[in-house]
Amino acid sequence: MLSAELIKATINVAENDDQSSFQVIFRHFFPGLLSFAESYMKNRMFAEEVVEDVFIKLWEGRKMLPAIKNLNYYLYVATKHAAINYLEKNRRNNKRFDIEELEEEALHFRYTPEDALISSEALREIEHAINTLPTKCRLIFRLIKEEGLRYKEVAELLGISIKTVENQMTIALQKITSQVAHIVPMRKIGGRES
Amino acid sequence: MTQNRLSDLIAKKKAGEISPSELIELNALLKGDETAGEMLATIDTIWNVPLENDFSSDSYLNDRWQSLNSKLFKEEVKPEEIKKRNVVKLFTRYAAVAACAAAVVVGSWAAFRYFSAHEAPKQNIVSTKNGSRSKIELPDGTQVWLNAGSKLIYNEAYGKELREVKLIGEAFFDVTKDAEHPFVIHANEMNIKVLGTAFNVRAYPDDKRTEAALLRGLIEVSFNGRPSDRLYLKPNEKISVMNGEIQKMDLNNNIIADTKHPVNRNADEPLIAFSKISYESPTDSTILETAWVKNKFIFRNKSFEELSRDMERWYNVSFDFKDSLILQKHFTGSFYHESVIEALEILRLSYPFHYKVNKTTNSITIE
Repeated sequence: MLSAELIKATINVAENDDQSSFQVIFRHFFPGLLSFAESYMKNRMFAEEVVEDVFIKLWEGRKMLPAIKNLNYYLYVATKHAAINYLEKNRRNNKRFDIEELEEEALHFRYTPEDALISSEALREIEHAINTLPTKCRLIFRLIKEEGLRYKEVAELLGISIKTVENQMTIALQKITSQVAHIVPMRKIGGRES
Repeated sequence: MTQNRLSDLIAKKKAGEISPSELIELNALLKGDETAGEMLATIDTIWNVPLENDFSSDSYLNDRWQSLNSKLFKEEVKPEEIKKRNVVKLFTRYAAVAACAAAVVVGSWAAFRYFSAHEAPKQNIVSTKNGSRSKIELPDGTQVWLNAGSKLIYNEAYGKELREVKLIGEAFFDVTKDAEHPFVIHANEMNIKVLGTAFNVRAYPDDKRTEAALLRGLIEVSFNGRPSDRLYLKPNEKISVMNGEIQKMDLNNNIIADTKHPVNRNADEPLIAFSKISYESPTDSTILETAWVKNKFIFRNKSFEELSRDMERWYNVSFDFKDSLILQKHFTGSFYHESVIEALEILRLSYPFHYKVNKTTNSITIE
């Protein structure tokens, strides 16, 4: 599910040790991984260290990069394990990863107006609708929509059943469409199918 | 119920999870149902706009990239093994690091100096901020590694007769051999004259002492206002001089009569001390004095008062102390990839203390 640009970047990193390609990968994944780590660790600084460490390891193992079938899923799993290890090592927390106890703040999203084809007012509505979703629901929605993870992968990553992922996605779409329904007529003309 | 089923199917369709039979089901639901069609259009719209968060901003990502960059792309360098033919290669790598770290500010005072009545020579200043290190090459090919929070100044006359530089802070020099043009470094009150060697100079004005450690070659050390007192360092030797005191005593520790200032140091702290370069361990060729060139932060039996100053420069943080007791505690250790938080956690193991971090001001309060 990686874009052509990212696939090219991974090959370039593996074959040529290319730093700017690595930066492309970094910039693409960092924000999502950080919000994921922070929601779990509930501490920005620790989360930054953990995600940074994931990228250090990724660079160290860069020769294997193109062999990773599913880089986005791989990075989320690596981040989750790194976060758990970090907390255990520092004995701050012996709890297991618990999807019911994620920090809301860290999963706050926004849309950038410049790349949207709709009014900024409508964008604000969508943004609000997403940010008022329950935390767990929001994280699942993001992992699927933004990272293109499969239901099965999200289920494994978060330690929940596929059925739960399905239900949460249903809830997410219900809530969002009920809140932003009235922008639809304006959009219908150009309603892109993907 | 059908509303739920519709959402479920649309979600699956967008996520690429939908099965052929579910697709047929979805198309049936969409057929002739205005609201179902609107819902799909809304989801399409939302799906097409990238979802960002507070960490997606360019400035934040630049910061984080820079931090990662400084850990990843600094070449391991053994100063004692640097060979001339490697210099070009090394320099290109360091140039990349330096550019990324935005550490190097090569400025020139030329503009306003030009208009001043005195024909002052143009000055070149290379500096590093706290938290970043960098490497530069001087016009004669001499390589200089500049540690955090340091400044190297030289003017346009560099290389004409003398190769003269001024150092504020810490640097490792690998001086290109040129017997005709001696290389001179002014560092605090210490002046170091060399022909072609590799050595480290540590001269932070707010530190107690100025130090020079020699890896190979020969260097001559003298002091401001006392050109006749000359000391020579041989390879693997180190000299350490107390800042602000050198003018008050002669080399035999006799107080120079005409000093107006009282002698201001403990009896157990020598004015000038000679020692051997220290290795990190018997099995490791890392030299304590130049470990920073390899991005290692090593300290031996250092009071927290001194150590915290080093950490401020190394990590670009500032310390506040609510508990001043810790300042006199001594620590030994080494950090490599560790962040400042990890470093503090490690230090806490040998002497327990509490700290608070203020991320916005980059300050750490020790309690």
